[in-house]
Amino acid sequence: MWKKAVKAAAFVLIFCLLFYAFSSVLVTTGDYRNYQWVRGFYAEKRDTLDAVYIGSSTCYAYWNPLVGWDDFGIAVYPYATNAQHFVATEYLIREVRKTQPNAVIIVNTNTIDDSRMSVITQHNLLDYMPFSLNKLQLTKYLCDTAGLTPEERLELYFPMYRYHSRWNELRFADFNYRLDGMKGVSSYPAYRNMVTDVSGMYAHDEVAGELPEYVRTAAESLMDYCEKEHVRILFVTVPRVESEARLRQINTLNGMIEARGFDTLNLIDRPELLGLDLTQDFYNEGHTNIHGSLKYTRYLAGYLMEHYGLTDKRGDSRYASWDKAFAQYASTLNAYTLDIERYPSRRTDALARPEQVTVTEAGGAVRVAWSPVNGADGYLVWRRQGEKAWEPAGDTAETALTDTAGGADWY
Amino acid sequence: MSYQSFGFILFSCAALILYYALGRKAQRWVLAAANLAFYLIAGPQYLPFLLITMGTTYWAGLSMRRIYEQADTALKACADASAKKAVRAESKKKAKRALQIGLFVTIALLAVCKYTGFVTTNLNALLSLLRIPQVPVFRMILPLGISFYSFMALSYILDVYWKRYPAEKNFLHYMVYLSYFPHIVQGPIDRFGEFDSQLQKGIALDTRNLAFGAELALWGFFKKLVIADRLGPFVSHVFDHYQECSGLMLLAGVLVYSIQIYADFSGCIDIVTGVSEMFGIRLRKNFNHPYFSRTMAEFWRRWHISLMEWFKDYVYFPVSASNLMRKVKKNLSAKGKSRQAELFASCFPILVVWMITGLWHGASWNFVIWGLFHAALLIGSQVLDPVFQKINARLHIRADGKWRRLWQMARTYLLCCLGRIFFRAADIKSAFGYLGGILTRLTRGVSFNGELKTNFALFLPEIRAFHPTRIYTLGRDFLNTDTGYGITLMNVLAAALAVLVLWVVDMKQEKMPLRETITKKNIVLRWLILFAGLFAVLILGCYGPGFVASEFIYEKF
Repeated sequence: MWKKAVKAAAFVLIFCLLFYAFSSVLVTTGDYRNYQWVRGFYAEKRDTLDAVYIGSSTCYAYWNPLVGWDDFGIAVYPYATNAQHFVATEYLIREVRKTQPNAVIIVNTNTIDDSRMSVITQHNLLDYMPFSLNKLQLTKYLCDTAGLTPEERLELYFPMYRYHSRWNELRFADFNYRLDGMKGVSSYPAYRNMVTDVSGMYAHDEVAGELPEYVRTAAESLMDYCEKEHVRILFVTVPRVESEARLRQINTLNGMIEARGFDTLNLIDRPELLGLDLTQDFYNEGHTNIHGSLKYTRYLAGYLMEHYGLTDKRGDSRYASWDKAFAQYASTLNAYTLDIERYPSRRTDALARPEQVTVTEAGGAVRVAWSPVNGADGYLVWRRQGEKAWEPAGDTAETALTDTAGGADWY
Repeated sequence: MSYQSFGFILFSCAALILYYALGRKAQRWVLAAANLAFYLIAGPQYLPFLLITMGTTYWAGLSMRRIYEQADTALKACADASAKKAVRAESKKKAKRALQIGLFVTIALLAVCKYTGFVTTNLNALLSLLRIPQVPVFRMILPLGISFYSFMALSYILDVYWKRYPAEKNFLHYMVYLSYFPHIVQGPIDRFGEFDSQLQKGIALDTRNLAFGAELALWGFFKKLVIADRLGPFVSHVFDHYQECSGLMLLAGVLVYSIQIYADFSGCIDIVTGVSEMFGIRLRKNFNHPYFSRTMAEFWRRWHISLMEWFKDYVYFPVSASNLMRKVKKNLSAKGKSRQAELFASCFPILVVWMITGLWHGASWNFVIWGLFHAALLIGSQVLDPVFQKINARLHIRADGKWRRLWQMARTYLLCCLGRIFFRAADIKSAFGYLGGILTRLTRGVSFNGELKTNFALFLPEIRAFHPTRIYTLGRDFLNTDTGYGITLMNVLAAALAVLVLWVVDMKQEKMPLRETITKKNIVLRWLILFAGLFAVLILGCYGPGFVASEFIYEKF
């Protein structure tokens, strides 16, 4: 009898291993970022992260982990997925604390969408979490709150139920998909390139609104857990365009949190605190672009160091992977941001901005002229074509330069 | 709860655990509860129909048993033969009355549920010809498995009436038989005696039963999910758009449909037989590699065996032995027409059986024609058999020659396909249109989706350049392009491979009991086969979101 039992156990074990192997190929990495954000978190060395930032796009479009690292020496990882809902937070904190028990938790309070997490947004999160009881509980909770049918639940418990039919569309990348080691930093085109003026839409509100009951229950449960487990947690409201109803719900949620004695940082009311330019620093009404993100990151990093005692880890060999990631990311920063944005502290020594800049076109050549700047030995002129990277147009000791290359849209 | 669903697997596992965990005495109770739960999940509205048939036939059986027991007691007290004869006649008469009530209620329920719409529609057609006001068309709900459980109930009361076995006193036993969840929806049409005897002493847990049953069910899932459901969209497309398809494509449509329906129905039967085997209960065999048949008569001994045996036992033989038949035969023989008498004796019951077989499959003239077509083939082969024998003898064609066997198999398959046009088409007009399309548009070229051609044009240069990465990428895009017939080339290839596996397995099974043979192989090979099967179903199976699961074809009968 025992022989049969051993055989059966071996059969089940092999089945599970094969199932895992096939799943890892067939379950799509889908949106590249979700895979990197979730899986990337688990690749971090145990108990090394200073903080973990839980949220949706209001996390990854705002917090730039590599700027946080390079400028402040703090390792703050974004555990984020598209349209992640606030109600999942408690389960994600449990998940985070398995490997990063001392990390400060940062949670966005903007993510209290009235609509529940859809099947697809649940896939974004659950597909890449390793199997655990906590994951099963989160799956059940999200399915229950979204009122999913048994069939829809099945595909969330067993992603192969959905993805098995990808056998005929596999890409080479599906066989050797790797983490990029970039610490979940964003560099998608809209984040890098786009600018939307949100100054006409931006608003804030002091009034409290009605919070959906399931969000209220989830928030209370989350705070009970944090109290019991002594979790150091900061609830952040990021600056973005929100509807009046949502603003009021956020106010209610923040009120609940403050009433229980937890820290909140409501930046939606104070975008100027970050130095945000509402005309330049957003790629759409709900998300900052790379420029806004730098400002947000710097502000939050300073806040964390000041209030949570995070220390500068730069130079620590355990964090070599962060240096390596930044080295790779530097080219993106150089291409899409100005030095002055990256290092505003140097601004006091910096030269003044050239005034009276004029651009005139004649016979296919473009002449750029400006007023002289005190102390300048010469001038570097940069040009940019469409959404391409900035490139030097030339240098001169004069206060004008003629660009004959043509095709540039910006100087 | 469809048999191919994940829910059915979970349901069966839960029932199995309880079945063996609660001990032998509780096994029938567990099955009864499982049967009831299964039927209620399908729809509580169906339950009254099942209970009426079950209750009536149980009562009829019990009444006949009592009548026969009383007659046996009376016979012991009878001294002379004439008195015994009178007792027998009296008991037969009483038993017949009980039988008739059972037959009437069961057949009436089946007829009302299944044929009211058909009858009223045709009646209206007649009334409109006679310019008489029409009656409202009335369509009843079709209780799950009514065609199957009604036939099982009928076989029970007829067997009891003919004293093949005594009626069951215990309602639980009868209830478990009639509502047994693996066979109630699509059969096999089991017989009470065979079924119940297996549960008499209870069934001990046997790992061989579990393993063999699971293997058979897995094979069934392979046929259903990998083959039948993959071919389904193509067949539906061709039959739904037959007016636009070339003759060749129509021919392909019906040939593929024959494979689809075989994989679908036999796949379902393998699933339920396998699950039942895990409960230690053997169901009747329903298929025996029918497409290897050399004659139509042989085909029907290999396809849906339990139904054809039912018709043989409860229609063909009774009609053959009926007074009417005897009289007609006698009259013809008296007039010196012994050959005609012989032909009539063998052909008339075939005609009756196939009329009913056609109608059993569906309330539509399509099925009637399909039944008559098969009756004509079977009668024709009987009538013309001497002629064929003579021709073969003249031409010195060996009866068992390899090529002759192959020709006979191909001929039988093609004839079967011909009938399937009527079986699958939406109505008679479409069936004849389809048939006409094959004959008149056979030489017309087959046109495919334009995108397919474009993607092939992109793919072809990469083959010439032998650039492996691009060959893979563009080849994949080309193969995943819809052909314009509801199926991609990738799915055609997958289906072709799976059908090849099916064909090889069927060939092997013709020669040997495959599961037993595999069991004797070493563990590596055995597990390799099992894992290949499991993952073929899990990965290549058509199921899950984005795929509209098709019901089993025989589920609607």
